[in-house]
Amino acid sequence: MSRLALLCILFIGLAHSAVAQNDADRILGIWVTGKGNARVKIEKIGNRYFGKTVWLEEPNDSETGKPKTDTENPDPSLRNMPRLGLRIMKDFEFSGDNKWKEGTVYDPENGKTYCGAITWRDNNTIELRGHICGLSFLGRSDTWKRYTP
Amino acid sequence: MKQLIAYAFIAGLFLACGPGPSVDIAFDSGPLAMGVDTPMTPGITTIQSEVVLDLDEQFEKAQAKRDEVQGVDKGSMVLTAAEGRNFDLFENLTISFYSDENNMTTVATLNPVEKGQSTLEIPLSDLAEIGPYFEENKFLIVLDAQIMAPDTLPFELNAQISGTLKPSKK
Repeated sequence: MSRLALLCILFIGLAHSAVAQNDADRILGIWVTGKGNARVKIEKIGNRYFGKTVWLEEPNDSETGKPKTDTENPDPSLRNMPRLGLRIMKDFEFSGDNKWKEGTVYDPENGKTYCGAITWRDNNTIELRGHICGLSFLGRSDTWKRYTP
Repeated sequence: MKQLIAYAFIAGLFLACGPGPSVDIAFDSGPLAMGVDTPMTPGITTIQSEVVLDLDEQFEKAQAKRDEVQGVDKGSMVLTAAEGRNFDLFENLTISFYSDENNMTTVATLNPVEKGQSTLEIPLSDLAEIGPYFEENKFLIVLDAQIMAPDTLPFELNAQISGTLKPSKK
């Protein structure tokens, strides 16, 4: 095989890898939840994607005026952390075909963790589906919009 | 009598299937440098550091199974700010472990961070499943810190984790 052909194969391989990486990373950024009452920043650590709450419409408890905390967490030692800042999405992996799978979604309203998947709809829209692990038909989806200040 | 034998059989089965006896292996990571990107802006800042623990020899000596760490006793993390700095900028902290083989696990939180402290000792949660991280030679510490005010000066800190591993005996 000529040197030129080898170079071409190498170049195509690198270009393909770069495109795949871009596809995976396009999910990075801040997203607004379906109800519009929270914003979640999706970031990458290692090869997986994580989301933490960076804005809440009502960060404080209406009765006490103090920040809402993670009172329903099954681990009592973690319950005094504010809900603002909680890492609620963990360990999502890009699987190609516009999906990020194998992740978990934590719901601070009930302290439960669900299995989750994200589907890319368009540049400004993703769909997050959380379900009871092992029972993918028992769940619900939420459509998130990219946050634009 | 038959019922008694059946109960004894079931109890035996549970004992045979459950984790075997464990041994104690004390560990100490030594100080791990964690650099914070500056300038720091108000909000959540994520800081990471890789933990590399070479415990193979200790496991061998204790005749313990490297791939069966049942838990961690008295786990704690000490964070030390570089000289001349303290943790006043930090309102609260969440510490998680994460590796290629294991999903991210929150292992400790601190809220609020006491003012004027340059060293923080934070116990690791007894309920968090930390054992599997020590079956690997390395994992990441991920520290999420709530920053209250902007800061442009470089900020460095050390993290040190210690405790007693409870691996199964060979």
